[in-house]
Amino acid sequence: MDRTKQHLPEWIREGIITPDQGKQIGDWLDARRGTGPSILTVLAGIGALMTGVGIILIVAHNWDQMGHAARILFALLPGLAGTALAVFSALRKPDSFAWTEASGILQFFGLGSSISLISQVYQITGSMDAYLLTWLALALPTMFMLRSMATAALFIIMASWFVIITGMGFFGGETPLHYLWMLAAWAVFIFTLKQRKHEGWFAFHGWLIALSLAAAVPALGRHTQKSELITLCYPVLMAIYLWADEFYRTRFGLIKPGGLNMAGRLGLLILCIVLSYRTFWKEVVREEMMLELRFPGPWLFWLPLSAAAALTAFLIFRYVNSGKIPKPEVIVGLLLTACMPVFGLLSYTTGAVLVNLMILALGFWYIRRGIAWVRLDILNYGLLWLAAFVVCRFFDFNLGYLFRGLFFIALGLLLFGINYYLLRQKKEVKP
Amino acid sequence: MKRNVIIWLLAVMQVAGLTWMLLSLENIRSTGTPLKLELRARDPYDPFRGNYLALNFADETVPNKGFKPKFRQEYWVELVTGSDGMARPARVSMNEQKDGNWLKVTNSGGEVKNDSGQIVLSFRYPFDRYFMNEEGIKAMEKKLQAMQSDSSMRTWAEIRVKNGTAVITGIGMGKRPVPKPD
Repeated sequence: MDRTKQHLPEWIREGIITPDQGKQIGDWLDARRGTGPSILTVLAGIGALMTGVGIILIVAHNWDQMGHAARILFALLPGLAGTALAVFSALRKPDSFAWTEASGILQFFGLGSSISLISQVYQITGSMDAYLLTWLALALPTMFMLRSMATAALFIIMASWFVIITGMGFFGGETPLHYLWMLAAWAVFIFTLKQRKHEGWFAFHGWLIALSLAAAVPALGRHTQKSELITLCYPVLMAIYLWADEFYRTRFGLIKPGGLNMAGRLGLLILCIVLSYRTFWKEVVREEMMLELRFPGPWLFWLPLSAAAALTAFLIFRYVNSGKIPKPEVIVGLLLTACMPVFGLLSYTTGAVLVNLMILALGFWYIRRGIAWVRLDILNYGLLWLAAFVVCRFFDFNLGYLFRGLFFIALGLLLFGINYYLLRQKKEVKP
Repeated sequence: MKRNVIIWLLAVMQVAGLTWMLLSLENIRSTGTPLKLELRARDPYDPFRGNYLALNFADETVPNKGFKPKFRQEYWVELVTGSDGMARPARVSMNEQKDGNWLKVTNSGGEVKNDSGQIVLSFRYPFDRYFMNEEGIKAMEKKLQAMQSDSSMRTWAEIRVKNGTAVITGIGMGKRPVPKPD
């Protein structure tokens, strides 16, 4: 049951809302849930997926016994049948979630199996990246034709596969520039959706695009001069994830944070942990990234800095106009992007100290907010940052054993103390 | 109404893409120049596209004229049929050529010296497998095993070449032609 709906009886009992208002809120929540997928839709989607996979498996069986013309016909059949079904769904059942999603999945796999069968009929070996490129180029119209989120998810998954095998190829690979139009197509689809989509799809797509971009950055930058500058892309990428999540939720009126939010926070935590070590600053940021970097430098240097500058300008503009303050993680991500080149050259020790201070600041910010809002989840998120700081310093053998031991005990007592204080506050609020 | 037109247009584009791919390959198969490439073969299993015969070609080198291609760079080789009926790579070019039977291949190594002391480039053909059903594979494997002890027998891949692209049309087996007396 929706968490908001769970509190409705209590609010009515306490007189916070009237029974009529409670019913209105409950009906609105039910209506919103009703626009998403039901069990029937999920079953239809799984059924379509399994049918599509079954078609692919049939591709593995050779149709050598048939004549050439018959083989060509069977090769075209999955693609043509999938397209016919997709056209029918788009024209006659455009509002049916089950029809559009299931036919989108079927057509997606139908096109892939047709390409594979054609190559088998003509004994074309080809390469996986060429196969994926052809498949994605043909399947791109499907998500626009049906406004299908499942097809868009499959599209971005395949595009991620393409960028990894092309850019991170075992024998060298090449810069997978085709990924850029794939990403653009997906982004156009997602951001031109007129109707609000179910929060589940939003969360799922958030995770997909976060992982896709995180994998694409090294694939795109690997063949560039000074490819170590890939590290500079990640802090601003995490900041963009968090900002994009907030932007999308505002646009579509969604409440719960999506995958981009969680991926951005997790990614930033990992980055801060890594950048809290002085050794990393010295050996990677200074010696591999910044030393011997000559003006104007490769795109891997200018793109993240430009993106960080543009996002900063936008956030300042928004603050001046509406007073809205960005999330502290967004600020940390942008600061890290600026700090890495500056302190990598000037003083890597200062850089490491600054990152440690940022971790502490974030931790205490969320602990304070958790206490103020009486939210254990926010409080524990803040403690997670503090715990990350402590664990890093525990394995940083520059600190003495006694200091580290006392610090751990103090942190543990702090955790118990804060949780006890909050529980007492909650009990005092209830009569 | 406008939306319906767009839907039909998108569907036609997808069908046209598939059809174009098929017609271009069929065009090569029907009107391309038939050639034979001598090979050795064995049988692994590719789960994505069923059983196939891995094709190892007898000659995947071409005399070099001073080119320095990078690893996996593509270039063109001209296939010329010899007196034994087999086609072999005779010339290399970094640009597509119109006259002759030119095929686009992928560089697989640097310059090497062959047994005759000639400087050659190593490449890979754009096809390295022949798809067959399980029964065909087993029958082929038996024939190949029998042939191993008979040096007068050989196998070849029959291909059709056109505009730098080729498709395999079959696998052949037979006796080597007896060298003509001087």
